[in-house]
Amino acid sequence: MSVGKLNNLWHKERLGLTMIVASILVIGVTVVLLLDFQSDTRIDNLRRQGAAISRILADLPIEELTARDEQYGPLRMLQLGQREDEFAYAIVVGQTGEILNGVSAPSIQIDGINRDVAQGSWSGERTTQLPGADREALEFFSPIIDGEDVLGTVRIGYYAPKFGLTSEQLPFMATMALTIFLLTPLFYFSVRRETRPIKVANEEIASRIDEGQFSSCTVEASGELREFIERFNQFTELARSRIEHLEHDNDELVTSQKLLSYRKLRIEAVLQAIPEAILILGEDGIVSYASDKITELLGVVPREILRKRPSEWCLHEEALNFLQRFEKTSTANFYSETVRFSRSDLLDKKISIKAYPLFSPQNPQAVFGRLIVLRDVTKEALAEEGRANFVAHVSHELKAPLHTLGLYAEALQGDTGQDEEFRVEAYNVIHDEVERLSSLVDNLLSITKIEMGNLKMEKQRVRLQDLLRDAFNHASGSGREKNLKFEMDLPPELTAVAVDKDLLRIAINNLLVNAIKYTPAGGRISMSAAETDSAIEIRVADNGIGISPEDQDKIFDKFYRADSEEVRNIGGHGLGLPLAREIIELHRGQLSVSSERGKGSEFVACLWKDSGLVKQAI
Amino acid sequence: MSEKRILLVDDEPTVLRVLRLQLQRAGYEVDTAPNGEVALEKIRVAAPDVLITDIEMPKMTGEELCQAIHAEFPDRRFPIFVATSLTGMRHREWTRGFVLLDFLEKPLSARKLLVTLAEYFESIASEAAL
Repeated sequence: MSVGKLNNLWHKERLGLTMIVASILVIGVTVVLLLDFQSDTRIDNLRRQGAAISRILADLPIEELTARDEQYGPLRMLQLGQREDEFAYAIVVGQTGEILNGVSAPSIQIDGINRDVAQGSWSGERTTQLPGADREALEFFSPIIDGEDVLGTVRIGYYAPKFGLTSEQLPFMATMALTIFLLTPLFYFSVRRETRPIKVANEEIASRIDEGQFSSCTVEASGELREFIERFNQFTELARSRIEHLEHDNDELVTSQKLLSYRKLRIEAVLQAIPEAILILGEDGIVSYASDKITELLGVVPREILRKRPSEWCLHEEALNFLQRFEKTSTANFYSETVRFSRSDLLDKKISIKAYPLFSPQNPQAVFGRLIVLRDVTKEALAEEGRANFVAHVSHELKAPLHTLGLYAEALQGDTGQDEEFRVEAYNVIHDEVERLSSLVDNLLSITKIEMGNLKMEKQRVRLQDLLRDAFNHASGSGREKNLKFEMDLPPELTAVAVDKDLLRIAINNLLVNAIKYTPAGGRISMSAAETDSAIEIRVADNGIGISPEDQDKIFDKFYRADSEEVRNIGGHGLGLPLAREIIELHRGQLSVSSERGKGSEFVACLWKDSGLVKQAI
Repeated sequence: MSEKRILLVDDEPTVLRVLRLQLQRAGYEVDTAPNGEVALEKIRVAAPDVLITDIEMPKMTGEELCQAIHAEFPDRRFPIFVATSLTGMRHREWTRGFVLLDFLEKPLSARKLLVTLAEYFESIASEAAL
């Protein structure tokens, strides 16, 4: 039988096996104790018997003791009265150790009996080795005294009792062992019978556990077991209801957690989608949320600043001063605040920070945190600066001619008529300045309309050569005074294009006026047009003062005027070319310049024909 | 009495022309400059009796011109009149530490300017007499 099977058997029949082993042990122990008791009893009996008989015999006259009467001698009588398995010998020993008389069990030689007696031992007992047998004897001895003489010693030896069963004891022992042995299975079966409901209940509970069910135990039992099963069922019921309750709570918890997580995700998605960077501070001023855009504005990573105070991560002094105010203010003593600052590491970046208190829904007086909104306002700041510059430019440009007009009016007022030359100059200056003002206002209005998107283009197909010729003729009229030479080279036919003729006329006129202005007397102004497959190019050229390479990029900026005395001496407001470019670009064309200082300039306006536009689109 | 020399600084040629004419008519010797840079060069050659300057000018503004003069001629004796608008007159922090500097309200009037100049020259004449 393998170890596994033995183990299995042990587990299944542990009770039965234990009882068998226990009964064997009980039988063994009982037998041993009985035998031990029996042995002790026999020794005691022998001692009493031996000591008494040895004394009785020693009191007999020595003659009687030594008379060798085979039938009725006292020793012989003694032998006959003793149990064969106990009695070993009885001898009378003389003073010198000689055996005067004796009887013995057949297996014992009388001569071989040890006759030594310890000096001074009058009577007593001792253990001695029997001759011719492997057994010991328990010897009792008494002196034979006559008057004051010791005549000899009576010695009676008994076999020392053996530890073990005698044949007479065997049936008793067997009966007892059998009884115990038979009682054991009876006891076992009765215990099994009594514990059967426990086993059934155990199996039932095991199957419930296997099925994962939580139902009560249906085993029928009586007495304490029944009570136990009832209690067990009550406990199961209690546990089941508690578990149901917990499961219900857990379900609710999971649901609300999911809901919360969903809401959190949704709120986070909303916060992330906001174009501004969002920071949420708790009532203690510690960051509880930061959107990704914070990195762009403050140069910090959201997850690295969570649960930290602004002083631990904010490197920008103004921002830090602002944020630190919320570390201690828990009441809503203000609704919102704004600061604007430049990042210390990026000076051209301007950021605005606004703080809004987050009110507790339960108590609108209590603030449980702050919503901080950070916005990159660099563009707004630039636009504001641009607007301020624009207003400053416009007022300067408007004031300058007015100033001149005022001065000349005042001078004319005081003029008594003697200075004819001055008066002519004054009339000319006044005329020029009024022209300048009027053109400034016109250009300003046009450019503002274009930039505000309020301009309504009225496109129609026009004969471009007619429009160009009209503009050229009008401009050349005003340039006659400077003795300029005007040349025009237009092809007889140009493909009709759809343009806003009023706007295009302003653009062409501005280019021509510009050329006339910056070309000294005696110079040459030319206008030409040429047609390619996809576009019409209009060129306005002069041999005037020219434009330096660095100024060529800037002349299309509003109010830009080249920083030279030559240019300053010529009235202008820096709006003509920007407006011309805006108009050409509104027609999806391009305006470019090529120029050399002292040699002249050429402006090329390129207008795409319809087919060219299609090609461009492709 | 020798003619008082006035240095006019403005980037508007017409303004220079008309003012020069008016001042010349009143008997002043007038020199002009289109910006601060040219004016500074002219002052280095010969200091005027009065300097009249605009603020907004290319290359070197009136403010820069005044600061350059203050740095280069700490003991200057001639007064500076700065022509500026009412708004510009409010921003006069930059004039802190300057002496003999006053503002003229724009738009300039030649008549008022002549009165101012006459008063100034009279005051220094009486100081000299004392």
